[in-house]
Amino acid sequence: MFYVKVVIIGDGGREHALSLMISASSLNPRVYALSSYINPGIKKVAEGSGGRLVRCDILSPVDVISKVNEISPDLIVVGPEEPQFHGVTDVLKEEGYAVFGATSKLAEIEKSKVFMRELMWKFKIPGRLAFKAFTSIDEAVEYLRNAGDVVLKPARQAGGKGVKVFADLQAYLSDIKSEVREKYARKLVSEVMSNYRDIEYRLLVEERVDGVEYTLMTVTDGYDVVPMPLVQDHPHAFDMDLGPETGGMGSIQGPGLTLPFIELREFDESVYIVKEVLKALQTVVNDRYVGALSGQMMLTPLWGPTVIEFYSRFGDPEVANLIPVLDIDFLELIEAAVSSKLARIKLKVRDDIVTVVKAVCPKGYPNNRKVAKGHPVTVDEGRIRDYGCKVLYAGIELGGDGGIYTTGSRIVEVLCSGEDYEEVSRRANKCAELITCSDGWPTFYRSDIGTRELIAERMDAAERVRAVYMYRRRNNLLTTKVDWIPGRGVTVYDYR
Amino acid sequence: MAGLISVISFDNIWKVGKYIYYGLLASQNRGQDNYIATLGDGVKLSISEGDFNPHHANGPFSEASGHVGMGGIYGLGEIYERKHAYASHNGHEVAIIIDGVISGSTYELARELCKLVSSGHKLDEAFLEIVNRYHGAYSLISMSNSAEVIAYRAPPGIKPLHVGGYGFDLAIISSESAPISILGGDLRRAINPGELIYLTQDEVRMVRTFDGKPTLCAFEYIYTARHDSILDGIDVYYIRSSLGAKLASRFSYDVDVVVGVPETAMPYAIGFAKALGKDIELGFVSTGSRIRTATKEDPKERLIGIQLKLNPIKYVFSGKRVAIVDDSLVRGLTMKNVVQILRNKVGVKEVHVVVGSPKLKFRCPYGVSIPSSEELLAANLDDELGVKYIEADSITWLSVDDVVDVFSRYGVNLCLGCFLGKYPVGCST
Repeated sequence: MFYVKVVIIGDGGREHALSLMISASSLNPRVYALSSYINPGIKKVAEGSGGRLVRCDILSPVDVISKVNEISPDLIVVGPEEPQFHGVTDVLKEEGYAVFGATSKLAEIEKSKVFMRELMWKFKIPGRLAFKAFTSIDEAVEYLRNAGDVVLKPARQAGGKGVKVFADLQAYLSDIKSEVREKYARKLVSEVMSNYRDIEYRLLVEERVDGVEYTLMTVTDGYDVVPMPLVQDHPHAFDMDLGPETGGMGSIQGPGLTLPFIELREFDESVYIVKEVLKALQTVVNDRYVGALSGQMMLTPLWGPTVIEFYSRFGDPEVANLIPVLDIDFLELIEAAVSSKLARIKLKVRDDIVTVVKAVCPKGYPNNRKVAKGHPVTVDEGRIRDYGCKVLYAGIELGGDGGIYTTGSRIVEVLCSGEDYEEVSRRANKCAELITCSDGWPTFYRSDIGTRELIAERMDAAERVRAVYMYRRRNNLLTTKVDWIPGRGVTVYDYR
Repeated sequence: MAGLISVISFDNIWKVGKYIYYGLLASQNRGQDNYIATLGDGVKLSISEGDFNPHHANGPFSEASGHVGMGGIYGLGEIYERKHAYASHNGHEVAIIIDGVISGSTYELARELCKLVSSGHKLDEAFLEIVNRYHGAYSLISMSNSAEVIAYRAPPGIKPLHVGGYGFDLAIISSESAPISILGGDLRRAINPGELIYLTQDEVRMVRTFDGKPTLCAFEYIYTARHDSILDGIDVYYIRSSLGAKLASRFSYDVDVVVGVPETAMPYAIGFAKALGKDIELGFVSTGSRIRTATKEDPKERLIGIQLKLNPIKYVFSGKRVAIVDDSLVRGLTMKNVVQILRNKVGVKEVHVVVGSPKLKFRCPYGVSIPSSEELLAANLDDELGVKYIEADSITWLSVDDVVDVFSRYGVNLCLGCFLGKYPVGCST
């Protein structure tokens, strides 16, 4: 009997979501997963489809290729960015496999934040920010002393970690901030960037912008770009947008292509930016991009749609929001990208529902993962199904004893959909309560994601930002920024 | 009255002492004499207290280490020793600060919390165990030496309490919203009545012990709060200027010019003048720093305060019929003094006094420094006598209904105890 074999590389919530969408295809694919640990959700999907989960060092091209050769798949999806950075896609392509996922050269768009910014400036793509990159910490510290209002980032993608925003508008508090900036820069270099020797730059300092963030995920075959509906992630760990940055505590989507606080015109402008970046990237790297390419965007007073980061993959947890709303055979979409036939794809998006994803995390995540790891987890899947919701397994590992344990990261993501944000959000909260650590270790999630209050706040913020960037556009200020330091003359920055 | 502030950093590289200092500086409208500041580093609490010196940015606590901190600022009139407490037990420490009045002793509360914490409870769990024995009209912030902070607004929410954030790094708790923006943060929302928020570096969680709407102290909006604060989602400035407009509809005299008493009364005067269609002028210039005269206990000090803050601009008043707007009339001493100066020294033609509050007749059992009934002008003098005592040409007050009407669109309840003598919560002080 004829069947399609698909290999998904990766082990998190994103890959669980991808495996669900792919296995739902009318082509009845057999799904195989290459994972560094046993994610029970992915395992279940794989086995249910007639495939299996294979343990593998997914950062090792050698290990991946040998495991893939045993399976001999028709199509391979490289989910996370790190295998791409480590050359897994490159080797698979060289072996002649059909691969959905950026090659290491193309994945530079995510890996090196300096590369991404330089590319945008070189090609004068709208939505770019002023930045300064450093290879030495001392140089960075010297610069930071008087830097003021900035964002500090590790120069390399580091699992979504390490970004800190330093609004510095109160002169009476700037001494403290200057001190904190310096300490933080040193900490970033010694604790985060010390793990990476594959990039020269250590630190990136960007101009700080304020606004409303959203993610634009796209699928491309290098010629055409198919934009997915916009999704908004929530990076703060705790309710009310308090607390440290996480990989994402949950996301909202809908109705339709855009979000309640982003206009369709802004969606189109965002798509234009991603297309321009793709074109520039392919030109510079001289390679064709086949895979998911996502822009972490922000509506800012400076430009309107502005690029914060690029991902050479689908967002996590954002991809989960797509499951109920893409009215398309997802495997066909991926297939079309791999065979350069994306132009034929007409994406239909359900506009009668909204989706809410909420991550449930062990206490200790994100800053104290050691204590968050190794706790036995109970998931009441039956009751979650009764609520009409889905569970995606993320930082959860099948133990030798058959039990499931936290890895220290987000445990699961619950996915709910329905007609009204408020109702869907409440249902997601009920589901999130059904995920517990059986040793009594506390878990947390954000009850406010998808609530009327939070969405109203975003709409307010977007309205404020929109008024400013529209003013700047009307007055031709988009390409110019004028600074005047009394006594030291006028500096005109040309963004053209 | 007191101003409470707390700053919790999610990363130990911060020192929050200076934030506490500026938070207190921005809360001086709620008390400006004594402060208590507590800083925590996760191991121990360091407490400093004394006279608050607004000119000492590098005060005793601003340079100290500590990534978590809280502070309270109190007026001299407060028996402020009873508004904060500290207890230690078996190496555990708990400190609390409150705004308002609480049934029972704050020291006893701190002691009970500390005992529960040392027996393994989290600070919020400890508080929830005993909270039903501590009611009243109060907001509270408490801190333990293991860097836990709780913020609690007792039902029905007579005292305000708000939450803000700064980037990925700081959470800010503040009585009013304005200090949050002074600290560079963004207001997230008001803490609900009966809501307890627990904040540590690893966890933020909240519990509601009460389901009703807030019952706000009307005097917060009329006098106490800063013009730039938003309390329970309601703009203080909007309320004040709307009340001013209400006054215009009650005012039946013809005047040449409207003047406001600085500075709480300015939004009232603006709303009043706009609705009346009259010009508003700057009437007075203050000398020295801002002093809140109405809440001073000592009559002589009050008088000094009034005279320093209200030097009239002769040009504005001379030969004119003037409506002079103030936010409230407590003893009437300020206004009497002003009218005398305007008549005798400046040569005003008519002085019509316009008051941005209903008649204050009753003391406040919840800690707002309103004197007892014997000392309140509106409780002792009828309109005719009041006008004669002040030596004005007329006095116009708001009615309680006017106030209720301005708030009606927000669907909140109000504590109107100082106008009506009926109080939403029983509390013995």
